[in-house]
Amino acid sequence: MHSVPKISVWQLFAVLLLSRLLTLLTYTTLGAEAMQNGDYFPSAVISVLFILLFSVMLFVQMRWFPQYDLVDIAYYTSPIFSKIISVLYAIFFLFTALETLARLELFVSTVIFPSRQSAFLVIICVVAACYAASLGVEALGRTGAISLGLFVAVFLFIMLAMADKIDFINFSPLLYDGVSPSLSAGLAAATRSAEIMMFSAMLPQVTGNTKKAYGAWLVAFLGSSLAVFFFVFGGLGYFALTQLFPIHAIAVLSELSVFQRFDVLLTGIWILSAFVKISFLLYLVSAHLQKSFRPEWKTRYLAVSGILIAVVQIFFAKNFSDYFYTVGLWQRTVFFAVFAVALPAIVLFAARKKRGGNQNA
Amino acid sequence: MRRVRKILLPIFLICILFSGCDFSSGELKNRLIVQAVGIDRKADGGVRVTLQTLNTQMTGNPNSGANPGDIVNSLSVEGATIAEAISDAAKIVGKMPLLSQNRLLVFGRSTAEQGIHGYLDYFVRNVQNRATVLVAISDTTAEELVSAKMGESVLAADSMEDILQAERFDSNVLSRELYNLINTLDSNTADSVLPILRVSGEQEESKIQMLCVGVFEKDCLRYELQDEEITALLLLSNEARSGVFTVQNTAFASETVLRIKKCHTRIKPAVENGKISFHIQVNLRLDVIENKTDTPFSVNEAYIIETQNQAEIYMTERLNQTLFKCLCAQQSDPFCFGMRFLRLHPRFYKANITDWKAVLPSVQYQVETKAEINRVGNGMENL
Amino acid sequence: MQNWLNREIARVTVRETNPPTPPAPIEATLEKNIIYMKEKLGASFDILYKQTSIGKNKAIFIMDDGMCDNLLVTQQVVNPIMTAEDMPQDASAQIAYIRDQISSGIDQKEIYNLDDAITEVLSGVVVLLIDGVTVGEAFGVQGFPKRSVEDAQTEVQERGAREAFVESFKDNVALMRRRVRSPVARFEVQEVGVTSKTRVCVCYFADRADKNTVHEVKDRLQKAELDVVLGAGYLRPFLESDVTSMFSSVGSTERPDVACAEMAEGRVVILVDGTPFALVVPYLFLENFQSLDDYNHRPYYSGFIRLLKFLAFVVSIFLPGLYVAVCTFHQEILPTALLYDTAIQESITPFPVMLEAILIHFIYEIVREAGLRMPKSVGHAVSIVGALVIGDAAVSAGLIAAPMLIVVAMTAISSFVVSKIYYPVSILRFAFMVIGGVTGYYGIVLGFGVLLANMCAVKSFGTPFTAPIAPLHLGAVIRDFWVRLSWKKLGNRELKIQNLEK
Repeated sequence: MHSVPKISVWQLFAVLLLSRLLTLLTYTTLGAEAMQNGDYFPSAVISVLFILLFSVMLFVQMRWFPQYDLVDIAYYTSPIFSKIISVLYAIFFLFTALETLARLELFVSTVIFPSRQSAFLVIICVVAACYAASLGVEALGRTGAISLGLFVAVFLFIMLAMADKIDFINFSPLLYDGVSPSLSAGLAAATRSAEIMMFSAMLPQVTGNTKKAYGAWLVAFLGSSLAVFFFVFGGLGYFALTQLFPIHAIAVLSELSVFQRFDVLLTGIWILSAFVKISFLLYLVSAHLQKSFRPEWKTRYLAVSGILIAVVQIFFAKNFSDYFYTVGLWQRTVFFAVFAVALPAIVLFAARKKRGGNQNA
Repeated sequence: MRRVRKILLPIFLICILFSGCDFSSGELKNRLIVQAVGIDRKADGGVRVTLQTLNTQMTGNPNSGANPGDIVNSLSVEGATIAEAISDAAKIVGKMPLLSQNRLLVFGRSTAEQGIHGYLDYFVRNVQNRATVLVAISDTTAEELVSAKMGESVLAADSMEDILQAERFDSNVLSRELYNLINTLDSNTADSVLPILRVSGEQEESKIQMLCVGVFEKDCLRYELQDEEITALLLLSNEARSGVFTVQNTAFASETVLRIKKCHTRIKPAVENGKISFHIQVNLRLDVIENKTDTPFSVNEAYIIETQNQAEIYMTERLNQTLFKCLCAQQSDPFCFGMRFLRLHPRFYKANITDWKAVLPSVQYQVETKAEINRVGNGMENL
Repeated sequence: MQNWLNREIARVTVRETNPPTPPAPIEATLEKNIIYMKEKLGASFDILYKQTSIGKNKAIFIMDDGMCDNLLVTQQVVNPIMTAEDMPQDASAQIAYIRDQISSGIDQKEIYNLDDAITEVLSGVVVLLIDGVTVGEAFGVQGFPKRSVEDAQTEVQERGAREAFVESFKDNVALMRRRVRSPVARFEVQEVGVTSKTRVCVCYFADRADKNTVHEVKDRLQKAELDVVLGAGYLRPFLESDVTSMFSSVGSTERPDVACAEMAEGRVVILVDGTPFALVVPYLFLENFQSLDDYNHRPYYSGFIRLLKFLAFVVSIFLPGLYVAVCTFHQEILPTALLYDTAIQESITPFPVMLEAILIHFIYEIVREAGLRMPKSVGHAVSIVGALVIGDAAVSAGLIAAPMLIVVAMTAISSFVVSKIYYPVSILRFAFMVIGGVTGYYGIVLGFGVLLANMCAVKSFGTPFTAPIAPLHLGAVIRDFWVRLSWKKLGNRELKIQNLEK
């Protein structure tokens, strides 16, 4: 029996926080509901509350089956059910990787290389991510930890450089149009990423206090969201919402002496974070398929996943990215809830019932 | 695993090699570096764009002592839209424009009077363009300002930028960045302001100077504010950092020139008996920099108190005049009072106000100035 | 294609391998032993066979002339044996008498098979065989020519000792023993290389080195399939991590004080006979930026120097690539004044920026390599040609831009600051130049990500290569990362390397 490679829970925290911060950075007004900039602050708090709500099944999993992921737990019920779960979650992580790649491609082809073909940019990103994923979870954990350190340093530097441009007059009143816009934005933010499922999938491979790390992750996400919104809207005001990537716009504004355009630093950590996230997601896809099918085909799973997301992004991007950006909030919420709540609930309760039945027998 | 990595590396290299990129097309030597852009609206609705560019095409090797020639050039092109005009410029010069070094965006006066909002989309949408580019109005046409010459050479945009950045130490100068302009242009509770520049002097002695500040209604230039009104505008917007003004001080000197060392304006919007009011408190810390007098006097406590009083009276008067002119006479809010009121009294605003401009004449304001003389310079007895 | 390549390689490298034979025991008949020895050693002129008699028994001294100290042979071996007054007549008793009674003051041991006898002879030992006895006696009288202890060439320290390792590993062990006179210091010898039978010494502190690491080192050395081992570099790949990386996870040092410091942290040092460099495992990436001078200077200064080294490392890898990327794709990053000057300079050059960068860096590498290999007497000419002709003349002729030359100069100087990793840095620099020229900043960041992931995947005998940053060990970082604590606070025991595992 081979040993499962493990990472510390704080390395996982780093990777998940990086993933969440990337989602925050890549927030775009494309397809988003228009609202006053002051409503973003309560929406950040509301999004954390929604995440907590969606995390209920994760907490149940931590309590009932602390060292197992859903695929292992589903095996209690039946091997076929376990295979189904592993395939479903592999597809989910593949979709999330595709969405991250799409967002990165949109950013790169809009901001960095507006006049170039983006196909080869997608290919080299996928190749690099496949390589990193092939190195294993320990390498990814450490890479994530270092990347997070760089992210925080760059972020603080940019905020410091544009601190003098903050003007409180740029903030609109809180909840001016009622609480509904903040609720919608909070729900959209909560359902925009997959950290709950990533955490759930990594439970067997982490050592340390998982609850503490998850709590720390939530707090860090809330703090960073509030800080980002404060600097973005305090510095840019309404102008931020006219830009495709408002957070990138604030970095463009930062100046220190003769040095301008610190957005180059933000661009760097953006690309690095996307690379780490896509690598991690591809690793999870491969890990899930390995659990239920041939473990020695690890490299094939990675290669096929990489090729799949590259092909979809290059040839079907127009339809696919439209689908993701403009799909309704409720449809997205249902999709998210299925993988965060419904499926885990079925797996956990079925396994517990089976386990209880076995113990009685 | 090693086999996969062996496969991945060649794929990576092939992708790079067959990416079909032309290595030199976007290089620095093939870019037209734009320093300033001037926009003038044509009679037929098109646009005339004047670009001030840096000349990077050398006829010889500067390392061997060749003369670099004119550093700055100007080029005027026309088109139905700004994007079309700029791409025509690229065709003429044979280089792709690089807008990231653009320091100044100038609109002609007649263009500003007819509306500038429609011309800003290109600069907001263009990724290269910085949101911190300074925006100004030319007293005549933008082309005249951007291509102004001193002798044979075009006056560089650096000098215009320097003039506008004198705002840091001169309260009669105002500058506006593009993102600030966008924020106020699209706002219902504030009016935009932009500096108006003009070219003065003969060709050999041409210079650019700031004439006044233009106040907009929506996106159309409507009226102007002159010297002391600009100071008042900056103080009321809490943007003033430094500046100089003169007070009459009959008891001691005929004129005393004061420099604003530090200033802070506290504006407190309130609702009193259903009416909107603003309590404005301006705190000034001043230095005496010059006295004009017929008879000598000692710089003593009495002098300080008298000067402070005169400064307070002077500044309060100027602020009241400017407030009356803008709020009452012109029904205009270049001070962003509406934004402050909305932020602190959103419910009242939402319930009672549909058009902020209509409410302005009825807005009450009380101005209180507190001046404190900090330093009197090196002379204790006035000559 | 892979199979074809493998066949081509096999065609020039496969040789007949003789199956291993059991060692030949020493025969009672001296003649048979002599025949076996001559058969194995051939007609090498330096192998001497001195036949004599001890009492009534025939005996033979076998030695390698160039490897032995002839004076020692005469005074400490031959003379005492031949002039012994109470020498017994029986052959077995004679061997026992020589072993026990003749105090020659040199290393002595018994040998029981002829293959060992051959190995000893070739190591500079005199072997005595007596007719009628199946045991031989070996006397350590090595006197082969060797270099004396000199200054360190590659690890120059400002305040540290100047001694460096030499080729003789016994002398190297003595240099280390002198510094650590403690019984916990262990020096265990084994042989590697089927033909060369090179001796390697595995050195560690018994009270702090991880036993599994020591065992694994010995095991890997034992399993190294090598024919000849002529340098420590031959063994490096067998000690490195499974993950292929540009940066080696095996350290090396030519200084005995550094080797002792490494051992004190629980590491294992490997001395290879014939190489004045010791290998150190486990080895961390951050150690490339540390030197012994950091511990001799005040902490604030050593912190400054380490930061300088790290920045120099970053500059030497990324500066050329970034310059190419900025000039080709991202001109908006540059301030206007710098942009204008760069544009003017680049406008007169005929080459694209990427090609220019690769060309000038390649020329620099040629000049550097030429300077390294050429005799010292003409080394000055190389620097004159390189600096004046290639640098200055190329700029004046408009072949390359002055900013590019500045970039090359800065890169070159920076790469020498961290000389330990000069070689991977040189290659990576070219890689990032190509990446920057083709994919711009996007590719450079992705390349950095790939490099980072690769380094994070490397483990040196169980310790992650990127420790103590990832995984983060705050204690280790505070103790001795950028700024080290004062010696008062570092305490009387060193950090153990195995504590940095996860």
